[in-house]
Amino acid sequence: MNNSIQSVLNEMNLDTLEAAYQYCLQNGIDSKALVNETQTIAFENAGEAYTLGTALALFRNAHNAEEAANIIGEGLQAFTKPGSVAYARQVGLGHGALAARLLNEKSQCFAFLAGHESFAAAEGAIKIALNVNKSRQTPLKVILNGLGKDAAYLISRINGFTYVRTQFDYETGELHEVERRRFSKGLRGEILCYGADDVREGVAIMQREKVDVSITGNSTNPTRFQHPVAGIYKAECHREGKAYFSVASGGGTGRTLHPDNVAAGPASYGMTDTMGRMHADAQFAGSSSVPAHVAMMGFIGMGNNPMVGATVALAIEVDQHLN
Amino acid sequence: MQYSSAINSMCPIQRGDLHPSSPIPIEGSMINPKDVIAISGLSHGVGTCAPQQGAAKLTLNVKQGIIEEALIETIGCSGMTQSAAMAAEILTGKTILEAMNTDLVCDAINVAMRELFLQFAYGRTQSAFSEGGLEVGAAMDDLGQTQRSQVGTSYSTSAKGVRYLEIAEGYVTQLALDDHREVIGYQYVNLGKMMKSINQGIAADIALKEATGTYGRYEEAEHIVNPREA
Repeated sequence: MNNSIQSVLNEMNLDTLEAAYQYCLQNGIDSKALVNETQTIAFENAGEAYTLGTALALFRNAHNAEEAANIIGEGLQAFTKPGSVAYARQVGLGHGALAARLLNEKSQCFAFLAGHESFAAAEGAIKIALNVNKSRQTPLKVILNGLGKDAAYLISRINGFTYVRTQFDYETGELHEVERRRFSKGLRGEILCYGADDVREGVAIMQREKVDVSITGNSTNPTRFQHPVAGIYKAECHREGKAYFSVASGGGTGRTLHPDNVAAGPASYGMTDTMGRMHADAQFAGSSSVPAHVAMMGFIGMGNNPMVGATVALAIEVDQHLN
Repeated sequence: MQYSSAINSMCPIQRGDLHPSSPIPIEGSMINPKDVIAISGLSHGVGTCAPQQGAAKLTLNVKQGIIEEALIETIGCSGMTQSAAMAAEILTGKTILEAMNTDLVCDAINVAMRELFLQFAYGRTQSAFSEGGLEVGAAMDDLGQTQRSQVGTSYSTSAKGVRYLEIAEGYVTQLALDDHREVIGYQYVNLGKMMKSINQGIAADIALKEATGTYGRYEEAEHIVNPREA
């Protein structure tokens, strides 16, 4: 256990993480179960980190879910390894801030700008869709926007989302909806899943849904889709004075796209980091989906996308218990 | 050092004020390495053999040029699994330069070692910007919580459609189909989790049950099929 974790426990007059877990259970929240339910392949330390954050939010009597999310972020931050990329980027606090942003009424539409990691985006999206509106006055729309229409269809089918098939008119720049197929009658069916053929269509989907918060993954097509779409849309929003909070998930040097993929030579951050820095208001580290890769960047073993869902869900649990 | 008479007869010309080679990021510091012991970090390399029958992935944790931790994952070739077992023992304790020139028996592992060396030489390690790098044991994390390599296996024919056989969650035991007979989910056994339970003394049938889970809309299935038999 590092000093940061110990000092958070000290604030609550607790000695161990197990005691923090018991504290959560006494308040009717099984933090570890909720984390495992969100991403079944998450590491045990993910459950512990969320336990610490949840206990802290309960202990500090968070006034609402938004405040709880930020406090949970402090618990997560305590789990970053000193000296690591995760520590330097304050990714724990970033996760809290992102969840808080989704719980804020000003945000209307959240997009997972996803590539191959869309299954993990789906895991995060499901958790958000099932929970976020419990504490919001106006419902938050959740969409997936990724490269590839077939992938979007398969992801929708497996996860019970609504697949929206579009056709972009490259001459006029208009986006046409061709078909809409809902795979689940339940709340999962409220999540819209778009597939795009290219960056222009991806940006058009962002405009159509008036996305104001998004998280990008880094693979499989960061240079061809996620980052360009986020960057272009950001520039447009900026010109028009619209608010858009962009998060770059994944990345870390060597993960996932090297400078060497485009040219070898003098030192620089990895290309994914460089692209993320061009548009991101917050940057995570490791991977959108793979627990091990997030752990290796000095954080916990859980994909960044599922983490968004877990943070929102636990913040709401805390809010519902306290208020 | 001996010089030819042609060289000896040349007039000396002063070198310019050249800067050293470009610094590379090593565990949070920018350094100009001249020697292999200046290089530390954790990185990966993937290689294949000439017929591309199998692929190997190496993850090495290097401290001051010495390989302190090695993880070797293989896919595709049964011979490579034994080469990997030997290479895992051989690699640790060597410098990365020595490791480049060690007979690792398997082509794919040798290629992976070469690619990995390039990562270190260019300062593209995973831990390039992490102060002090990653602790020995970090490569183990790459195996995930059940300490088992991720090997995905999916198969399909245009005549009979897709069969998911092994996915991140585990060994696929059943596929769930909707009323169009399209896949909407699956049931799996997480073998790493099951064996961990069995090692802890839990009866195999109970361990199997506890390690079984579902993904997607399994519970909404109209038809359930065994992907290996149906």
